[in-house]
Amino acid sequence: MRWRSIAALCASALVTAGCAAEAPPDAGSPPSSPGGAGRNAHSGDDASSAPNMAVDTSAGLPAQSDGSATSTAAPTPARRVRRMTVDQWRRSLQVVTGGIGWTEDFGDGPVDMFEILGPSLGAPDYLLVTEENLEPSILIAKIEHDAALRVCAQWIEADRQRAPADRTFFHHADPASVDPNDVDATLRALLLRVLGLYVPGGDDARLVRYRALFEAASTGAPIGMEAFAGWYAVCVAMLSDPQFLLY
Amino acid sequence: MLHRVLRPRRTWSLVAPLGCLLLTASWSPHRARGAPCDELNAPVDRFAYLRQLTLDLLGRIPSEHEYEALVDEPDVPPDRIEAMLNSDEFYAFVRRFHLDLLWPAIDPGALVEPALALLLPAAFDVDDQGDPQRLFTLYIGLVRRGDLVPCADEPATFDENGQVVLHPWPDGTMRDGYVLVEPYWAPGTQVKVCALEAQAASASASGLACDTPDGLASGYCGCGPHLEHCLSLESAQAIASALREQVARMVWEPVSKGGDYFDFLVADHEPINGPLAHYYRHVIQFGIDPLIARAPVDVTAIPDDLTYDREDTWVNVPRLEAHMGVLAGLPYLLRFQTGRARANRFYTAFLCSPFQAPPGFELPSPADPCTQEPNLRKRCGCNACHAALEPAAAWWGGFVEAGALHLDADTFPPYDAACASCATSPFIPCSDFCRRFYFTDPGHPDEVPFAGWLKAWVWRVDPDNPGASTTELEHLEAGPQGLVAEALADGRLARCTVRKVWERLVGPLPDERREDVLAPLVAQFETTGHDFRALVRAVVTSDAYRTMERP
Repeated sequence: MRWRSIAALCASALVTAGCAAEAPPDAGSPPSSPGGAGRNAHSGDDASSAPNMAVDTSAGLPAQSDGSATSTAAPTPARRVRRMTVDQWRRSLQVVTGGIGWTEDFGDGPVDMFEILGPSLGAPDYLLVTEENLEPSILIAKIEHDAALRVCAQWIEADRQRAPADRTFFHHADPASVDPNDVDATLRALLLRVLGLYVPGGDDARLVRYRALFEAASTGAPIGMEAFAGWYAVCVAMLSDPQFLLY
Repeated sequence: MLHRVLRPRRTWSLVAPLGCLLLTASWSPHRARGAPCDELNAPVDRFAYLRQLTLDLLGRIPSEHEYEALVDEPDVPPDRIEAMLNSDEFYAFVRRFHLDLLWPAIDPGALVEPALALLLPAAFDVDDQGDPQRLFTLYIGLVRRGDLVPCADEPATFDENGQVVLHPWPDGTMRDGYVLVEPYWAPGTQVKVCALEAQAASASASGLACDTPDGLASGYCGCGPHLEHCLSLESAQAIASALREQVARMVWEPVSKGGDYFDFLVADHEPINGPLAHYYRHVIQFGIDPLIARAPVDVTAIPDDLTYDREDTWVNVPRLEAHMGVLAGLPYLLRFQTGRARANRFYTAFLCSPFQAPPGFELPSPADPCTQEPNLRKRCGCNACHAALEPAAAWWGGFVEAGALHLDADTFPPYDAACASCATSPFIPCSDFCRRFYFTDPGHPDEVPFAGWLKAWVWRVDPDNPGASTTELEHLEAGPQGLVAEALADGRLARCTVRKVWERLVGPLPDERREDVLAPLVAQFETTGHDFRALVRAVVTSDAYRTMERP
């Protein structure tokens, strides 16, 4: 049955990495958000609240009467998607897991795997490597998957041992629960915690794939282990999701 | 319990590569979050915006608590952004941004002459059968034991005068034994050190001071009390790390205080920690290749209680005038060991003006006589860059190349008649001093007039009129601080800094858009007195930063 879990995992990653066919500009905007989450609305607010910062970075764009740029003007500059650096990756994994980094013990005590793999991952040492290559690569994807496999096992195991108030993975529901409502609550929390995706109540579309993954992984697991198997698959799917490293 | 769930591992390992392939295939900027597939350059939602901000400014993703605080907000509140910029975690951005600009990495072995003052474990000698951890230096091994070998792995013996006794060894060398010493880098512990290296006398039997390279090179001096004049692999690494951190801290000081960002380029002090303080006090004189020799700070101003073990304590100490600013500190001078390299990094990183031949430039034929021109400013094929690079390199002409020593006029007069004589006579050998610092090997008739001049003065001084000032000599006299002043005055520094910050946070702009997009930011940066946080704030609150590019 394990192959089904992995297949679901990858399918899930594929889906979450893609752009949404009908994604709203801000799925998490509260109803009272004036004007939605449009770029101009947000930026204008921020700029007006920081008086000495206000800079019009859309300079050079001919404005129409409604203030928008004409279609013939050069496009507004935009930010390029980038990958986390190795440093950001290391620190972010610790934030996600509540302090559990990716360490391995090869016999001489735990070592930070990002220290070990840093050169292979392109982290600069400023002697031989002066610029970190942040292009996506098969190696990064492979290491991301390795990290997820190891970290998730430690995170879930550690979280299970913690008092409920101290939990970072299961703080919305009992770890052993497979009740759909509990699963949804934890999925929502994890999507926000790991990927920064806010899924408000009632918006179940983004949960469907993860629910399916949870169910596929938990089905057939040893009795009493169903929930843990499901959460492990979900955790690996999220931490090896390209969206985790891209921003 | 979880381990039972995870078995069998083999299945995972078989499927993982497939998973990776699938994941990578899906990994594309086209698939960024937050907007429909068919929309170009879409804005990101507030959660993605918070994630961007936190990763860029603090070097990590937001915590769940930080995300949750956004649920009832219409957007990331300006005071959240302000709090990030004012937090100590913002150091993560400042540090990384400037490490990427300044590349402050130093090979620990460059801090001292390794053969002389670097304590190596006996395991360095592959034939050694004893405790691999006992420490020795190559030079004492060579001079006193007869080869690059450590002492025997047995306690040392001493004669009635307290001198170390060496015994003949089967391989023909002489061997002393070891003693136990409490090293300065690990107070409260003891390490095995070969007795010759552990000597603590202040002078050799012949009267050479043991805290000088000559004394240590005699083979009759040791590393001093607690091995203070030598580095271990561990302490060398700690000092190299401190020099890297020093650069980031020099930048952080004006940024965190809201002062003029460019102060770090002319700062009259530098932060040092315990390992650096120890290096400046006791070890730096053994940095002879590359040539360091003297601390760039007023050593008497280092607090007495800043001992080696205080690695996390940083104290500002005044720099010597010639070493003011990041560009004249040890990390920069040792990382970039020639005037040209120093100029090249600064012009590329801070003036956005890399030295590149113009488009369409073609190299001449090697047979073209102009390729024999010794002055690179004029030599065809080289002049496209060197006509600008040589005057730029002159700003660092006051510092030795392959080292960090400032060439003060008292010790290093611009012209040395003795060096000129040896350079032009086949019968007078040139001293090491002449060969190291002065031009002694003219290879072209046009170079002969420069014989006996400091190397940095070649092609810069008019030998027929040595008192005449030239642009490049003015650069040399002013030092890198002069370049900073010039680039501040003409706005190049501000323009390039804005561009670098923009490229870091948003991405490169096409040439035709750069001016109209960045000009307002440059103006604001100037108006705020080069407030770096204000610049970053302006960029991360811009429309462009919140808009995701979809190629």
